[in-house]
Amino acid sequence: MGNEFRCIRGIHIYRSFHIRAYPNCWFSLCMAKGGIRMVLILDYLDNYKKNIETIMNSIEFPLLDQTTKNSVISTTLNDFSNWSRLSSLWPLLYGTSCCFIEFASLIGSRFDFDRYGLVPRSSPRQADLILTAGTVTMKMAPSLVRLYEQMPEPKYVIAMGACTITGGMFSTDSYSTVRGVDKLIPVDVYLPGCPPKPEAIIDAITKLRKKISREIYEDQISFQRQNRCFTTNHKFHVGYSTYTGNYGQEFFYQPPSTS
Amino acid sequence: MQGRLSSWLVKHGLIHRSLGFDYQGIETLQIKPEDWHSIAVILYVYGYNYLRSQCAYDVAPGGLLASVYHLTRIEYGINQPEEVCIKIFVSRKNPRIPSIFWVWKSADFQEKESYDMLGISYDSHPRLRRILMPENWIGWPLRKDYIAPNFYEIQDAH
Repeated sequence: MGNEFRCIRGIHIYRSFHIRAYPNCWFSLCMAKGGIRMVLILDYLDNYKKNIETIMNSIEFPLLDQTTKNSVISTTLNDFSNWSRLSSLWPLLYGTSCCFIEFASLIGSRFDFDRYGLVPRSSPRQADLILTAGTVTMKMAPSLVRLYEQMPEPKYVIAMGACTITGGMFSTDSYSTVRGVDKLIPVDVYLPGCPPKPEAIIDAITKLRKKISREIYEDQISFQRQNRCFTTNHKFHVGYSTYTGNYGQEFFYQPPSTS
Repeated sequence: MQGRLSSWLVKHGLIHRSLGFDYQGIETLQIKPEDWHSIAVILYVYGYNYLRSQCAYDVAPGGLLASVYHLTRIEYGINQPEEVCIKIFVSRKNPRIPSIFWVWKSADFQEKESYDMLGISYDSHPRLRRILMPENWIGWPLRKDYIAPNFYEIQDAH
């Protein structure tokens, strides 16, 4: 049973080997001393510490360092990973229709969503939340599924607006609107509204955060997605280049031949 | 009573039918599809330099398809430009109308939309393809006898 000392950007984590197998065990998180930012956080955390310290003292944990008790938080690895994911959910900048206007108003200063840690990302490879804002038609459906598949795990979906829940106002007569985006991708939170107010979107994000905080690590490990798509070995045929140098012939007026 | 443009066309011997005036006072003419490409140039030379909109609709199930053009004159300093509405009726079996893209460029996307939704093909349009529906869609959605196929995505959500 050895001690492993790991440094992540000024936060020092003590980890012993047996804890790796049991993610629900308690471990100590020692904050680095010094630095102005750390001092401010220490002030805030002092109120918390009183609640946590009473619990910790009753358990008699041997790894706890008594001389640094003003700068220690204890938590489980599960809760820590959930907390780190829910406080920095980066949404994909995605919007097809009117709901995107409400989503975009969240980026402004009135309904700021940066205070929840949401930074809008343009690339699905860097996003972990997709708020499907806007009607999805059958022409857009393959692109949406491709965007969802390009997002790395763990990813979350909020179906925003009536059009993405059941088709909304287009559910009666439309010939190409997809009735509900859950026919294409799995949805975590359904947010009704046409369009939902920005406050309602923040409420949906809050509910998603609460849902993430209840996640259990073992469930996700057991549900590994492997070999979901059919893949094949590509056989490439070498062909000649189609470069002719004459493009845009259709833009030049060819008078109809009169014969 | 006959509209100004209608009497001018009669004076020059161009075949058309006057369909009267609509609720805003815009005179409406019907033109045959064979004459349309020449009459379009004649109207452009007459002064109508702005194609306000081009739309199309299905007149009756089993009946004709109509392609509608609203033309006005845009000029500096006039508040109430004269406008005219041209309708062209084609049969449902082989709907072909000469394209007026080369006369008024704004007809580009609008004729594509009429082609996509109703199937009216415009001859000599440089790039006539579907614009709203996916490229490989079969059928003309806004025709009155169109039946939407029972795709999984279009079925009701439960």
